[in-house]
Amino acid sequence: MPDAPPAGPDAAMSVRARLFSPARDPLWGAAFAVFTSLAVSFIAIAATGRNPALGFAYLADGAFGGAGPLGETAIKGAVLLLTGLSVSVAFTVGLFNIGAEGQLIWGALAAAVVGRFDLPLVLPCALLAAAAAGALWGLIPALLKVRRGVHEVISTILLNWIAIHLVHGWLVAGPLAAAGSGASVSVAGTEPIRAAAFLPRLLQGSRLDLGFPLALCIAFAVWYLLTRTHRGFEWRATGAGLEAAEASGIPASRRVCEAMALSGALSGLAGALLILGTEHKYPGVFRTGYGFDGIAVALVGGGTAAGTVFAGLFFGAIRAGATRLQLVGIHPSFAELIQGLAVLLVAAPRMFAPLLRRLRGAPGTAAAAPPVPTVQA
Amino acid sequence: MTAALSLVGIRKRFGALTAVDGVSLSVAPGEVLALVGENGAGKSTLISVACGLYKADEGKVVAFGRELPAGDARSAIDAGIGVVYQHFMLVGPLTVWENVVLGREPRRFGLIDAARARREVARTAVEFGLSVEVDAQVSSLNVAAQQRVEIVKQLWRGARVLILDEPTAVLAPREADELVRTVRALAAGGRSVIFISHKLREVLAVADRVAVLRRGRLTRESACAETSAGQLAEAVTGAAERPAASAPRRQSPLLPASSLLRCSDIQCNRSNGRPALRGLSFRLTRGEILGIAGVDGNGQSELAEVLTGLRSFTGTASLDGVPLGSTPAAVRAHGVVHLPEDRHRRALCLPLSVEENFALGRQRAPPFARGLRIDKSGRRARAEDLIEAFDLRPPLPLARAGDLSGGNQQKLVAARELAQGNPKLVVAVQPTRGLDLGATRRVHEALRNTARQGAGVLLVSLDLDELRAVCDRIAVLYEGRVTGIASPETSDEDLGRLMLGQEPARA
Repeated sequence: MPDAPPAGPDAAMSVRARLFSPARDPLWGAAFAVFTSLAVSFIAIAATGRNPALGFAYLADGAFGGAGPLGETAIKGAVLLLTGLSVSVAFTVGLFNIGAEGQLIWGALAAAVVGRFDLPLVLPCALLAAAAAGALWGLIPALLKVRRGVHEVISTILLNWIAIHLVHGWLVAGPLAAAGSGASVSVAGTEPIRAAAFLPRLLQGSRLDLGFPLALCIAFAVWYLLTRTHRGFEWRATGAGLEAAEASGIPASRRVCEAMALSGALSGLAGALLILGTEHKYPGVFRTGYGFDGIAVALVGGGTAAGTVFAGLFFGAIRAGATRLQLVGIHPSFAELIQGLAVLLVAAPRMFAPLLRRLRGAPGTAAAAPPVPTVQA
Repeated sequence: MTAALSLVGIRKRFGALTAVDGVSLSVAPGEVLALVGENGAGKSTLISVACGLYKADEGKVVAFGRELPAGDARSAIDAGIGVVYQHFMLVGPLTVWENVVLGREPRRFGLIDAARARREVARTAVEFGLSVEVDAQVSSLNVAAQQRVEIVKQLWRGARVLILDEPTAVLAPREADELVRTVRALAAGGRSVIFISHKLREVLAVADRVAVLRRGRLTRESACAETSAGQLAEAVTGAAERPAASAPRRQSPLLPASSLLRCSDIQCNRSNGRPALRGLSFRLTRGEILGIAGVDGNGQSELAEVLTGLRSFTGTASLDGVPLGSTPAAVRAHGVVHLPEDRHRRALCLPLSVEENFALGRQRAPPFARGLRIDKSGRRARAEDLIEAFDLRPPLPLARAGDLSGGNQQKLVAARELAQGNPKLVVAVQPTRGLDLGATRRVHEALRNTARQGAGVLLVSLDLDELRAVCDRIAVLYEGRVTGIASPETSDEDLGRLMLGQEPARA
């Protein structure tokens, strides 16, 4: 059995091929995906008998047509880029965090609760509380993973439902429900937060608030942490080769827990932005889907901080503009079609690349695969 | 008499690597043929060709006088070739008889004829003296019993040539003895057995004939009765092919010999819970290169893991009089560096760049970091120095480590571990496996230089030539103990005996 991939002219070729296209790949891939998804949606709208040009004009107007729409794009983009970063940060240590939604819910609840207290600096306190709550919820799957070997995809999915039902089904409907809301408890939510805890609005005629610049600063900080500090390097090494990292003396389990805590904190902050910026209380009905969309944002963003910011803003614009589609009789779920296609097109090259290599008969793929399927009794 | 199975001129390449290079072998009905060789000698590739999993580039496979279509596993099975792999192909929740008949269930009125299946499975087991409980759930059985189920499965399916791939690797000594009896019984019943192993003593006990593979070629084929363990060890390690002039050896160290590493009564378990090291003791002095020889699987890997903090142990190990740490970080802080056996998994982060891999393990110290930050220019400068010193190709700090060839990957690891800081102890496990001559020479040179600067080097290798060329002394491991410490001039015969746990011819 050959223990190393065969070295030779072919191996040298692949080195050259990669070197002449460094970092260009993911960026172009994402741009291609976004463009193609828009084109396919255009055709799909035409196929339903509506006017796609008009639809896209309305979509663009809803996303970019003046201060109000731009504000909406920024608000939604800020939340999405935070949940996207959350998923990306977990990616760096090799974990697939499907639990951004649950972490966002706890962060939102913490912000709604702390925002009601009469504290000096109530706004930073509420933000910190949200980050801490999300971090704790993100730490659970990390600990389950490193201590008990539970796969994080399973545990984060399950923890999402635990968060949803604990918060929506019990806390917000019961102990934390606004007093005197009586029969309409289910739609009432919690008491409103104090005005001092609101994220200040930045522009007249727009809901744009401090959350947007805050999210951009956080994105910069995350980028710096991951690419410029040795702690970030240790996270990436852990994700790139767990055993090699461990053998080199990096406490890999600790690094996994740290990264998942940061991942949870970012989702928690995304929840805080929603509560402190626009909702001003924890509403009785609060199914945002921002946590799940974070996965799409991270995928399209290629797992890098800069890519995630752009992907977050793009999806934010689509979300902001989607409501206007109804005005021309197009169902707003067409916006989700654009999102879904973009993810599919970004993921597709990665899925098909091994297949293409095999078709081209490249060495070291099909032929050198171990012949023995390892089924353990 | 027609051979049960013959392989004629088999050649199989993977890219630039020729795994099997023109091997012809045959096994007669009722014969046990042992196939031995180091890891990577081509044994697994050869049997994969025999059972139709691989298509040979050249040569043919003939079973009972009929040539089999190349690369067709189905017709190999139909021709009566059955393989028992190291990893069993069993379904845990099903019973023994269900596993045996799975996929070929006897049917009656469209339903599984359970009574007949049970009866047939039980009869097959009894016929060959294999004790299995037909109704037991497979996951409740121990490894040895699961192996018997695999053998019964192959026999029930009509296998007349049984290939056992390192069957004793997973067994305790007593279970292995029983397997040897089973194999003899199968042969007495007219079946042919190809028995793959690298435990030479066991091979001589079980087989009629032994074939030795080395680097894809058949280097020896002889009847066991006419073969001594020493000859076999020579053929396996390639000592026989060595040119008459002895390989150049390094000078004795000029530094005063003072004890650096002391290990006494080290004990530890394998990952499967069986003992690996059973009271191992030795000393290593400054500036010395100590070789660790032995047949694969006698505790060498575990010793390396113990010394690098990757495996817990009992006993004492002290470096410079201070107990060795028990985590990789603590051991590294002590000045221990590691060239691990499995460089892909243990030494490199393949998706990261060459310069990032140089930083691995030293990422918090200059020149790789300044305070909390990565020092990019310092890292680049260091990477360029190391690339030049070790002639890494391509000479690009930003190339992905996973894109380098195996030899260059190992040069990367050697450069990182040996040429930075001042290592006190180097633990190198098969550091030149899979490398070409140039890369091998460079790695050896780096080990010698490190020793010359006063470090102790522990070199684990299966290749006696390598040990002779590089080491000052050679410690031989057998079943987790040191059976002898020999000078590099010791004859192959004597080293072979030590490797098999016997006393050398003369003291």
